[in-house]
Amino acid sequence: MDATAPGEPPIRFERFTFRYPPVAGAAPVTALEEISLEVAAGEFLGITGSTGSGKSTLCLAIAGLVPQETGGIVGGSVVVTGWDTRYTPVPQLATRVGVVFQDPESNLVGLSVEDEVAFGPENLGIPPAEIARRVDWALEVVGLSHERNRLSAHLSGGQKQRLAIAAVLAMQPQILVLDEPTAQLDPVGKEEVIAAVERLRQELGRRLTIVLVESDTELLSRFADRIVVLHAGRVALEGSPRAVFSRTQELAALGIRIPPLAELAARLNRALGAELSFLSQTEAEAALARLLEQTGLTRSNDQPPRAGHQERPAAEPVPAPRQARAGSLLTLASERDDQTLHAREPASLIEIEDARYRYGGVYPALNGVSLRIGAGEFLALIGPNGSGKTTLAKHCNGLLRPESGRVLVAGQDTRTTHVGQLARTVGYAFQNPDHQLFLPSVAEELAYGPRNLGLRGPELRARVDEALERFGLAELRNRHPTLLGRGLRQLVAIAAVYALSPRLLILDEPTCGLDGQATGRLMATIEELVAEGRSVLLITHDLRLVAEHARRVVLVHEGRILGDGPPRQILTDEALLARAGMAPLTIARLSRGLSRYGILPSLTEAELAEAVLARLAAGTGHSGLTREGGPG
Amino acid sequence: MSAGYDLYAPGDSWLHRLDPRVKLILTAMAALLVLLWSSLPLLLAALALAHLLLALARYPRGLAIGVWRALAPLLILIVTLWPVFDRRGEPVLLALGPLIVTGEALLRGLATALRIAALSFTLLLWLGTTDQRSLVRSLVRLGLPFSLGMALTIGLRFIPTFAGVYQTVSEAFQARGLTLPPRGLRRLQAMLPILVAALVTALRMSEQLGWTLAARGVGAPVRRTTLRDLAMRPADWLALAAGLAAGLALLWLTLAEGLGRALR
Repeated sequence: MDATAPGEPPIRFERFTFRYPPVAGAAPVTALEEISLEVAAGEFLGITGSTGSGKSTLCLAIAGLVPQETGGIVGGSVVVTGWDTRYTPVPQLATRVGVVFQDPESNLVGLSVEDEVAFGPENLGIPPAEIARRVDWALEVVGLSHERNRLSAHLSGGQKQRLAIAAVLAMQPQILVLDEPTAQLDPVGKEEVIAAVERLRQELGRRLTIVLVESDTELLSRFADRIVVLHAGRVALEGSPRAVFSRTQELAALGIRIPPLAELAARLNRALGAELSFLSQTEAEAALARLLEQTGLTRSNDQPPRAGHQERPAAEPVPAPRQARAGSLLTLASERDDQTLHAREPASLIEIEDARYRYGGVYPALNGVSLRIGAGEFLALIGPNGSGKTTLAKHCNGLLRPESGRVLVAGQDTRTTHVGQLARTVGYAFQNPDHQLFLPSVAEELAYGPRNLGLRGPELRARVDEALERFGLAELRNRHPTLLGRGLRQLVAIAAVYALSPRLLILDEPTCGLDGQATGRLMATIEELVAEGRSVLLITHDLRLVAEHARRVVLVHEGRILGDGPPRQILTDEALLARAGMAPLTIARLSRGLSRYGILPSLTEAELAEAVLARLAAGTGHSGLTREGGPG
Repeated sequence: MSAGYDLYAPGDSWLHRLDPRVKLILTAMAALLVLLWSSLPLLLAALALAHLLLALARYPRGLAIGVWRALAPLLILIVTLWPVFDRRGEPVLLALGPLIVTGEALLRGLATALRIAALSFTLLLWLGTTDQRSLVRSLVRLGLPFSLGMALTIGLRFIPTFAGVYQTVSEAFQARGLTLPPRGLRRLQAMLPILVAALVTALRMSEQLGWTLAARGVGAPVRRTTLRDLAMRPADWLALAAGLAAGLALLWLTLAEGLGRALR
């Protein structure tokens, strides 16, 4: 292998423009426009952007898959370690560039763990002794040495992605490209992959150039040396994480979800005219502690210093009663309306009584679950993969029926009622929109469900029009759903379920694959539905979303309900979350770290900013716990 | 999910450790003999031997029973329908108008069912104790082009994946009020959207998998190496020699002396 010429950056985009080949007579879609970008040796470059901004295309271009495998029209060039990606065969480029894609299923050939890692070097004709050495090393780095004889198909999602990274590392690339490697993982799997990348960084340091594409900006801010924000195929923002993530308004306009700490800093800066900036929790805690101490709020003012307070979540101050928070703009959604107090009791829509279920009659999935969901509830179901969330949700519309115990949907026993019949009451939007789209136009897709329920003529048309309007799809009514981008396909799939006009809407990871803007729009629509009295059951790993929107959180672990209550109760209970293998929100952890200054447990950036500002205002001598001017 | 499609049971028995090429050759030999035989006692003996070997290899009884369960409808159909269509032989046990059932046809049906069962369990000895990679590797080492072996591996892998996708898609459609008619053309018609959506998903997946293969160096213009190549141990040679000698002897007896060609 010849080395890169000295002074030549490992990756150089020069006015690179790319258009995908046209589909079905449409015009070619521009994916990247005039991209000029250099990545230095050993740099960790983070790339983010809204859906359709060209992030993934950029990854494919570095590996030469664009344009060699995809076809399409190219302008300018991408030169990788001195090789022009237009003319260097992909297998040759593979000796310098390793790529890991988002979907764990399509990253692996399907061999045993060891063979999967050996596969790349074998294709390159590396001598067996050397392959053995590389396999040992790569599996060690990603922490899979003890799994080497298992079949890759039997691994968890996080393990599969780590294996994909190992498989690429064994080819000893100079560049590692990771295209949203954690997007489809649960929090546990995500942490596993992050730990593997961290380990890799320690092990190889500057010998490996890494390009990480992520919509999770919090993750990027932890790792990247430099951030590039793409928008509509162009570089919209570029700079250090600190510089880029401080431009919160621009980011929001570009559809980027702002990292919680950056959002917190921006809010405080706006209120205080300060120039706070923090990327890590440690940094934020230190900066805020300094700020609070400056104004005279020392530890002794409020509470005696507590030794080892990290280990004592149960001893946290009890959150102020919700009445004290009501009325403020900065309360959680769960505390703004009266739903949690009143709506749950009367008229249960779903009644699950001691349900037990085993897959194939063997593998236990629900171990005695009882749950009631009332009309107009907005409930979030959280828990790691395999905890039983989806199994539980599928019991709510009769897709699965309990082996013992029973499930009543609007009073009907699911064991004696057909799924198609229950679809009138419960709508279920699956995680992957491609699992339910098949008709040639968006409007027909939306009409499919209501037609199954017997709607015809003007009634059907009115139903479809209303659903199109509600989800902002009216302009796309005649477009082919499968040719839309991932975010829009997701919306069509949800709208198609909404068109059934169900009283309970179950949404399985509805924001997966959506950018900040699209997420915001979807959640606003869901809030409307809740306000109109429909119930929503949201299955998600995104605790930020849960904190901001859900009125009630049900934490599931090993087929049992571990916790059930308002977001503030469940999401601030670190011990409870830890029992389910889940990490608390960054903001929740940070607020706990600041509790010695009288900051109450907070869940959202807005809430914590307000708490800090209130303490600062009260800082000139007051003591005791206050917030929003309420009594301590 | 994959359990339902996978006959392979991991283990470390002598049969698991036997070189997959030897297993393949001996299985082919045994299958040939079973196909040639019509003798009920010999087929029963072959079936019993296959079960004995499975037990010695500690093959899970549950999986073996599963194979019997899957075969049962076919075996019952053969035993009951064979005499209806085959009217040769004596004695006539039943004559109802055009329906004539002879004792010999009954036995012939039984022999056919036994042959299918013996053949299935002979194959299970091979498939049940050989993991997928050894399976494909042995085929490649016996002359199958590597690219075909690759395609086979991926194909096998996609069966459970596709079945899973089909299951999810079918659930998604039922959740939108689709009621599948229990049988017939209307059921097939109703299943069409499910198939379309499942295929689109599978195509998206296979496109990405194609990229993965290219990015992992498939098609690099070098001679491929292998980390762990198959190597025959003395025990493998011994098993091959003994198995082949016995097999060929039985084959000679079968072809030249008519062993096992008669029903009884």
